[in-house]
Amino acid sequence: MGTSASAAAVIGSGSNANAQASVKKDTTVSIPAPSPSQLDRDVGVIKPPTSIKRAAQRPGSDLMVQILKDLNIEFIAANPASSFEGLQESIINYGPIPNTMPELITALHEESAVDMAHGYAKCEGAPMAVMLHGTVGLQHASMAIYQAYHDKTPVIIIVGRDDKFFRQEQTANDIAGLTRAFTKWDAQPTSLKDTLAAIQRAYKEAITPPMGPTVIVIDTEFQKEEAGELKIPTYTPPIFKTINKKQAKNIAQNLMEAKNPRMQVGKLRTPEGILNAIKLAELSGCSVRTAATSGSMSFPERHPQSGKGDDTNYDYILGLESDGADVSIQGPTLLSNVENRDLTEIGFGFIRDPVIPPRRNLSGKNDMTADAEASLPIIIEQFKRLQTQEALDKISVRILRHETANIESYETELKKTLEKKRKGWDSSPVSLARLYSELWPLIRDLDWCLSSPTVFSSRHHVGLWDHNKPYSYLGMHGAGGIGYCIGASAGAGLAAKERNRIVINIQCDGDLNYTPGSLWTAAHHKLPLLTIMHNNRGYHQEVMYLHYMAGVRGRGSDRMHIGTTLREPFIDYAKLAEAYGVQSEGPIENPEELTAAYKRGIKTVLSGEPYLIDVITEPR
Amino acid sequence: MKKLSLYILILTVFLYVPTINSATNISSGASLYLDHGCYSCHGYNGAGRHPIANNVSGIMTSETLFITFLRLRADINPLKPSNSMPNYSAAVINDQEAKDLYAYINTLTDKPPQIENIPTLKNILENAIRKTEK
Repeated sequence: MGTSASAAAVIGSGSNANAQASVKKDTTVSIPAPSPSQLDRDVGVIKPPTSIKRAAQRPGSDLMVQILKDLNIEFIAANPASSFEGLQESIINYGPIPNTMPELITALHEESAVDMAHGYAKCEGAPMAVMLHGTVGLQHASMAIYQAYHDKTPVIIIVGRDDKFFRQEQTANDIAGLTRAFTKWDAQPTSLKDTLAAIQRAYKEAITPPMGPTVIVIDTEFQKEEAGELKIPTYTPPIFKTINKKQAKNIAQNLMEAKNPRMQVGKLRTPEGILNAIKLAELSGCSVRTAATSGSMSFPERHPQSGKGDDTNYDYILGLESDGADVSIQGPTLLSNVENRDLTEIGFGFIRDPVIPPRRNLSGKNDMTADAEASLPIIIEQFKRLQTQEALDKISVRILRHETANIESYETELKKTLEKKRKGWDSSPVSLARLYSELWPLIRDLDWCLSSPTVFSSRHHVGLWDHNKPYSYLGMHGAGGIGYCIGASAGAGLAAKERNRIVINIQCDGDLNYTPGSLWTAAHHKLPLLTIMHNNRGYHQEVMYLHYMAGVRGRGSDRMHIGTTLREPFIDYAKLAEAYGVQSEGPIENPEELTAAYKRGIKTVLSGEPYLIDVITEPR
Repeated sequence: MKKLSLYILILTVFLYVPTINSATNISSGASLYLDHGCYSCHGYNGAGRHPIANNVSGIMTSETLFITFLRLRADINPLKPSNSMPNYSAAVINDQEAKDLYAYINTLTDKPPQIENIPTLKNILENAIRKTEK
């Protein structure tokens, strides 16, 4: 704390306004702003100076960064720490354009760093990396890792380990053991050479089904070691398990011969998988059920064949990462990864054998455990072999019938949806239906991503917005853990930044208070993130639960606000955002003010800056 | 089982006679509506996720039915968290308070414009139709 800041503390609140103004001014002076050249280097515009004599001519961490570059890792998020100082220095200084591929993203909390990676991977179908500091950093991040694991989302986690020279509380023999039960793979290499191979392996394991976070614990010595002539190992991409040619031929034949075939598409791995799913749908003329309103990487909702089609009596259903079909191709579940992971037998729900039997029988007649995305090209190839002119004619008629029926159904359903949205239209606090409705006409012609889970805001985007991109809606938290929203949205913002895309985050108030520091990350890294507060001033789900419990016990229901609401005082989220450097406005209680605020927010976000609008809403 | 519950409800409505029969107090009802968290499901103005304004709910058919409904809600321990309508015993909301609440809810109205008079919704519909016509 500088002298002026200390003076402010001594003067306290009793000082007059002039004294305070003076102190404030001095405090600003004591913390210099980055110079223009520092800012340029922050985004890689200027190369760092090259020294002639260096402690290490070719530090081991330079090679680690080169591997991340070779793997196209765009970003690495971290809260700075001594145990990865070597690696961090390489990220920001190594290479022809330093601090790119990966760019270092400053996270204010390790949980936020992993949430960012979680949100990013859901958008792009590819991992970004995070760096964590020893035992303490990994424990801070553990909840977010747990969620990414449940969400089968790839994240590369590098944990710095300083075993000899720093605080012993922050190191351990087996740091990765802290999160082993809910990570896909981990390693603690014992040499620089092994470390390089481990980073490549971590990437491969993370992107291979069941996808998930992987951990590499890297000792500080290997980061600082002189690599000399050590070469980077040759990277071999993973081999995804597919169905075999015979199975593919059988599927192709069934799709061809069925009178009314259908595809059910769940969550695929990458955008490329979606393109192949579209190709197969268009080749076969089947109708398609999508999961695009439930999460990322599914079939476009408004594709002409997406919908019930003209006949719901389907005689052949192919499931792609989706249950309940005649044939279902699905990657391995998390259960396949249990062996050697949960060594202490904690038995986390859904990572253990199911305790609660499934509510319905989810198995198809011919389930196949394979990666649907990798299997699609084989099915397409087999299908093309069966094509005849007669089949093509039949299929084009089928497509036309489905298109017509789906359009009709869409218009009918949209009218019903809009009728429901009218309810409470002019109410204050603002109805959530209106909050979503007013936004749609303003973003529908933009490339947008809805990053936040929407279950708590009653999912009003469903039926109203068109979910046509792999990242249109990123789905739920993973394990229902609160505090995920703003971090994951910042991650989606990273994915959107150079892609002319904007991110919409309908942010629950309770959730934001866990890790609001991601607002600063959004401001600092200029992320195109529009945050709209669903500010119901409480933890509403718990209000309802507690209410019911009090009713059962008959002891009064007028104290349900205790421990469940955020009042006395209300939290001012516009000011909170402003404090973190995010432009903001609100609280808005009058629904008539929404559209103008949205327009201001979108204009700002399109210019490459985040924006927050605090809206006081109905509870649900 | 559902039928049996319905018979019991109807029977109880006929047998049930509220013990207090005084004038209602709408402002007291408004306070009760907020204090007892009715807003959390029915909305601050009765137009929430489970709307109760405009007398759209069957339980608002009569004061007697309304009070009976409050008393007859579940009073067994839920095995899993429930967010359905709670039970309100007479010890929690007495008959006079329940009447006040009923009177207040009866004042709640939600008269949103028709879609053609809401520019946003009209725009969404017209745009969607235009797109599908292409």
